[in-house]
Amino acid sequence: MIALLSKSLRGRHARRRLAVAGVAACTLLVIVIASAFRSVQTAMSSYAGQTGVDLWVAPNEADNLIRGSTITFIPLTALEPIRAIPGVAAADPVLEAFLPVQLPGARDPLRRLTLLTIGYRQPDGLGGPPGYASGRPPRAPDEIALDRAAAFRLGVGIGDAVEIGGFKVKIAGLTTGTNILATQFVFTSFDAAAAAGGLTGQAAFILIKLSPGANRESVIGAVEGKFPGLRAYTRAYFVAANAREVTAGFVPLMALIAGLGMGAAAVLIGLLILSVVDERRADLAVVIAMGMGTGAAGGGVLAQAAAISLKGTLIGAALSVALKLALDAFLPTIPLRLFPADIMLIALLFILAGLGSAVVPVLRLKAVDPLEAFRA
Amino acid sequence: MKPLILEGISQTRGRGARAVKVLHDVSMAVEPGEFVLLQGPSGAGKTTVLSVAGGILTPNAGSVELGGRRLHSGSPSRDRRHRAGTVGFVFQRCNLLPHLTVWENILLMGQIAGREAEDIRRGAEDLLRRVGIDNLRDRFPRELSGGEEQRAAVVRALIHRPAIVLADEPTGSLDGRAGQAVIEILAEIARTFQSAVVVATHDLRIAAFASRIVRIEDGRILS
Repeated sequence: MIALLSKSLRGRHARRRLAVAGVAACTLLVIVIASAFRSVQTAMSSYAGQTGVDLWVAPNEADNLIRGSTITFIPLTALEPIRAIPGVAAADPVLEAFLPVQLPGARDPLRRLTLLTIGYRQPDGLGGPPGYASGRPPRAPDEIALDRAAAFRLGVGIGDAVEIGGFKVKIAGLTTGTNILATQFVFTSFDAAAAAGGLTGQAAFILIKLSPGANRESVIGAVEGKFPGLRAYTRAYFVAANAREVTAGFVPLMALIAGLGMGAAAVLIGLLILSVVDERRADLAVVIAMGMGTGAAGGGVLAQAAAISLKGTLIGAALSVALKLALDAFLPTIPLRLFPADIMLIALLFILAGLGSAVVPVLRLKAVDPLEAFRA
Repeated sequence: MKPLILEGISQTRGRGARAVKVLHDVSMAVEPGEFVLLQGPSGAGKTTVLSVAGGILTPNAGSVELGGRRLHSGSPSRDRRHRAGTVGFVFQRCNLLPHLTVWENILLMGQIAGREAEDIRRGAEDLLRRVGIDNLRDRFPRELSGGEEQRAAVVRALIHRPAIVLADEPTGSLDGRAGQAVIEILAEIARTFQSAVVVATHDLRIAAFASRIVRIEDGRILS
């Protein structure tokens, strides 16, 4: 009964399609924002949570990658004593700094990128790139691995030369999972990063790999006991701290945009349903006169709202997948990470918003007088 | 059991100084299978009588007994469910829902009345054949002529085998021939199914089909 009533209440095709398109656009907007956030979160986590690293040693308070490049550094003299701690299988320094990267000899400052430069012990030290799109790990001091999106922005590829902090280097590999939207990662040798950043004798982090069966807590205690100005964070903690840093900056804006998007979709659906109820008042009067309860009639109206929300949301979700594929192929500077759970949550919220928007039209049904059926 | 008993019905429209009494102490009863013509000029109160009889309008005074149940004395939702199963309406302008096919319009009424799907399907096929539009079941109302549309409306009114059919000027928007055909169908089906029919009209040509004519003027039953 509700399905038939809902069908009978379909509005004009053009207006209905516009409403569905509006909901789809709003859904797409929210999914894109959420996916961009996820992309940044994933990039930070994939680097911070890379396998092989059990502990991140950092100066006090520098418990994430953002702070690691802005707060005090660790003197390299701490490296050997840390390597000597029982239970430490390997320890490598990592230098992190925002450095200018440009094509050799480029004069235009607008063609210059400021990238998050990671200096690590090439070729297989801890803290290297989390994954490659193409190419190979850099092996020589004048080789680098550059994020795929940064390479796209600079218009360079494997084998091409770029300048980092004034030093000319060659691209050996293009990395993935290293685009944090505002900037990207570039991986150089530790010494090259130190020279380019003027940070000789210092490290941002010391990464530790534990021996099999080593007691993690005792290693942490030993590091912090030897160096009171340093903290040793577990990988899980360090990943969570990075996620927190990203979330703190991103989520309020994302929530605002998502709220505005859902509000716009709800207004669109509400307006359409309200106009349908007003236009089809005579038909509603007929079914109420025939004995349909206003509850069931309201169900028909809600079903209409749900159908528009669902259709718009599904189209929006499908468009987001298409957009992601298109961006990956043609504009990798905008990374999107689509998570089915996120899409389902967004779809659910949009459907709820659509249903909520139908409350006013449903309340209007009470004003429909079945006697209007005789006057129609 | 009489399908309809109205006793001492009075109805006022408006309030205070603007109040107009539209029905004065109206009483009438309808027998099963009876075809009653409620005749009178425009504004006489015919539609108001149908509205009260159908349980859509609550009278200011008097009682309505519809299909053996006294209305307005208990739960409104029970009244609504009762009249959904007891009354069939035929309106002057058919009022088929424009975005549903003939079949879906009939199906919807059957569902409102709480009939089983199979029951509705069989009944609809039978009624559509009887009224001669079984080939039009998948058409939308806009694709039908006025007469075809009104026949579909008659099927919709009868799909749940109501105890009484209330028809408000069912020939009002039809030419003479189409109007007569609709009334013939209504009379024949009512006779077959023993449904009472009350037709409000000022069309005197229908009188030949009526088993009884009730004249109403200025809200009063004259005969």
